Amino acid sequence: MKYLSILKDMIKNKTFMVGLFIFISVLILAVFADKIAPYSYDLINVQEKLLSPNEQYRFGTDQYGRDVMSRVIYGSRITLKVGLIVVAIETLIGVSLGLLAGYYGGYLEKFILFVTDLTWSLPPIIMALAIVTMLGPSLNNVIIAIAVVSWAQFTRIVRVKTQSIKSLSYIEAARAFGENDVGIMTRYILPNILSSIIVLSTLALPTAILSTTSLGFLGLGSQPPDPDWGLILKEGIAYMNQAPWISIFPGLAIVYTVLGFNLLGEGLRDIMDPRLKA
Amino acid sequence: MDNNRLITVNNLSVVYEMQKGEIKAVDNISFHIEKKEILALVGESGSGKSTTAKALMRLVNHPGRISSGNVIFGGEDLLELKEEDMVRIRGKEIGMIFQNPLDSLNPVYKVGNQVAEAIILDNIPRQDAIKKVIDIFNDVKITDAKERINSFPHELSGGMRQRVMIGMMVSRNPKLIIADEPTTALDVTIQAQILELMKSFRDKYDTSILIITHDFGIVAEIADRVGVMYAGEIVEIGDVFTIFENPKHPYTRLLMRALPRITKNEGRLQVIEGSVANLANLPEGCRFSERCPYVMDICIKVNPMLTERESGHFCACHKEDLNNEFLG
Amino acid sequence: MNSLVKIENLKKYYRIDKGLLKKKSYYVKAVDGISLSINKGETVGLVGESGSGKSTVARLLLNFTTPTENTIYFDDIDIFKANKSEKKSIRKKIGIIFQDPAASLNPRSTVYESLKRPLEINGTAKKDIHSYIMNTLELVNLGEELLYRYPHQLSGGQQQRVCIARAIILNPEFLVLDEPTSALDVSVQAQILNLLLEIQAEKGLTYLFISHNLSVVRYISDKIGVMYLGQLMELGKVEQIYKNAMHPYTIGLLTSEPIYSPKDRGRKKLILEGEPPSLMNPPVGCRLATRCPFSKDICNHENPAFREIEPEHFVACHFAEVLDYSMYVDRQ
Repeated sequence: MKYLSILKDMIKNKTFMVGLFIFISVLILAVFADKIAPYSYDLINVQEKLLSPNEQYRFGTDQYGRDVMSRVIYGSRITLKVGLIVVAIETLIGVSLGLLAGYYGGYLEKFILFVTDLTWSLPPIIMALAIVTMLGPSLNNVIIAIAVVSWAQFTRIVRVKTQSIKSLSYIEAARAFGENDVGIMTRYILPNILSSIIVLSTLALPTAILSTTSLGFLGLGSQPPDPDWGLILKEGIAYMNQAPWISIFPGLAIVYTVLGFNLLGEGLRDIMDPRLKA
Repeated sequence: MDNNRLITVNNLSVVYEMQKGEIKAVDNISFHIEKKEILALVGESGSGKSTTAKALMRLVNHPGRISSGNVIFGGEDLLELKEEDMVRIRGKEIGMIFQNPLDSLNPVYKVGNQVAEAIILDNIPRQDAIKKVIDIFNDVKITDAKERINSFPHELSGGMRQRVMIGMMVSRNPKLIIADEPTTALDVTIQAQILELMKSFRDKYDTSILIITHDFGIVAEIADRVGVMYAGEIVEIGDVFTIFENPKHPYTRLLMRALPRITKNEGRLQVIEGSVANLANLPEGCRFSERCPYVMDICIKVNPMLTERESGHFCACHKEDLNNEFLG
Repeated sequence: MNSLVKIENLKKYYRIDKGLLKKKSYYVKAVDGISLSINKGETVGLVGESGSGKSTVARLLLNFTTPTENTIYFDDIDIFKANKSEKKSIRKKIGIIFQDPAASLNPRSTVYESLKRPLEINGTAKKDIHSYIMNTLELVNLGEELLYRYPHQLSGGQQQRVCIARAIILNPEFLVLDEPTSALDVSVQAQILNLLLEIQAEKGLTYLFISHNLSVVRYISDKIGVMYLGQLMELGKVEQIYKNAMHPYTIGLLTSEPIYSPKDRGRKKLILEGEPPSLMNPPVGCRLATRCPFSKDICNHENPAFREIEPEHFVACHFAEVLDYSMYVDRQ
């Protein structure tokens, strides 16, 4: 049916396929971290500290003798978990507000737009910093902080799309036989903008990951000994001269993942909704 | 005889490359338009009439392409010309009017300037061009022409916009105007005015017009000759009076009977069974055979050719005469 | 009488605020005093060009918008003042069919789903849903094999049949049809018009058929109302309108209508010069005065009353009795 042709488009799109490969690789790392990582991420072995990459410790060891590779592998769990949860929250808030604003218009729309623009104009990292400072450093607070400042992008696009669908005949026909507002929003408008939402969510992933990693880098996210990539990076800075590998490998992991998700999102956009390119 | 021909189309075919395969939107059609003549091409969706119009102007785009035929105009084959030569022809020799003038006018420029741009192409200085625009606007009966040249397209009504389009197209006195459903988006009273306008241009400037439409009423109103298209082919073509009086092709006849002209108390509209032919899945013989109430064995196997029934009246049908058959 | 729908002097104005501080207000008088009644089993055709207000009338009938003045009675109930349960029951009794069948169907729903939804919402028992759908499908001559298709997989005619099925599946009494065949090919239009007549006979439906196409309206209607710029110019039985039209606008429409044969080319047309005036703050007198070849001084100052010139034939023209249109139409 229609899905078959989408599948064909997906396979043809190189950007998407590369992004998909990267996503799946990170996913596998995260899910099977226990089986893949040679060591536990918090296994301290002070005698083996600061060793450069070798047979035993492929990425070298850090200042506590912990295997950097294992920490990077386990770190993928944090990265993915954080990325997905943040995007889920953003999507939920952003789409709901966008639907309400687009559908009802009037003062509700004006109010939502006001709040959205406000949120949009604040620099996300600063906002997140403020929130985390208030609530205290922890991974969960970072998730909340990032999600809360990033939903604006969904609201705007969903609002516009809702407005354009709202005036179509099939919406009027539905109202004519008795659909109420909630029914119309959930059964008629939402399914018709779903592909755009999927694309936006996927594109929001790399930003979410980058933001949380940055906060982790500032020490505001996960706390030691969690193998958060940003945290590892930060800790490795002090040893840049002696053991640069401590920062390099998580850094590479971040680049790899973020790049991959970007490609996935862009590929998906080209396939499902090229009009979002603006 | 041939000296009076303005444009001759021979064996024109246009194909579209679709995922499922090739579709022949226009299949080996031939016709001509004389000087000062109004020819109407009439058909329903999928008939290929719009594609034909675009092909004459070489405006068929990917995934479509002209796969065969020639179009002789002014001693040249338009299909053989280089694109830059074709650009010279478009607008100057052959003008085109589209269905929705809003799509054809640039929304950010005043209409006066847009028409002036067309005139300037003939190396007329700007000052004179503006004066000519006012004359043209008066010609197409746009009221308050002097003020109107400063309007933007969205400030004008549909009828006015169409007049601007017509003005733009006739400003360079083309020999042929191709009008693709020019009045479909307009109200009935405005449509009547626009058709009058087109007829007057033919009379005043000796322009020939090819009008593409699905509306037999428009054909009856202004056409000199009419060609009926179905599934990419011309099934009947001839003088408008003859065709209306005595349509020889079953499709023409049934289509005319499907037009409401009575009240429900006086009877029911004649319905053509089935739906419009699927271009991706055409039968071997006559394309109308599956829906034709006069169908015979030969119709299913052999696609009939256009044959001359009486002078100038051609029909592609195996059945000689429909007159004796009463459909009730 | 047996009036299913009664409309008296209905008005719908839209307010537009312009100017820097929104101080200037204009009123778009979309519907400006319409009086009309539709009897049970009857088809009333509403004819008019763009800006005539006929679509606004449809929207008012469906309660998509509320009137500025006066009201509409359906089955003797004021549809705007009705309470919740009355509104619900009225909604079941009125169906609508739009012009563009492709845009009237949810692209994400199959035919089955589109037909199921109205039944679900209005409390049809689960066990009955399937049979209702199958029966309705048969009524509109659609094959079972189309049930699980999506709108884009159907032809225009098939899509419109689905829309018709959806409109009648709740067994309404009244259908509002807003240009139902304008987007369809001629041969498909004939099928759909005949289908509409069939269904009407079988289910005893009442129709309001809105169109800009006079010949279609003449085919399907019992009574015809001619609208211009928000007002009714003329209202009468089909034969009265065609053989004895008394309003210049009606004659203008009749003579501008595309003809049936080139032999009629020479016919005398009543030309309405120029364009209709803007709906914003329309003229004080007769709406047609600026374009009417017969207009006199009084036409510019006084809006003519909508009077009954002969039984059931209403005309809004100061000179209805005196004007002679015999050179335009064949008066039998």
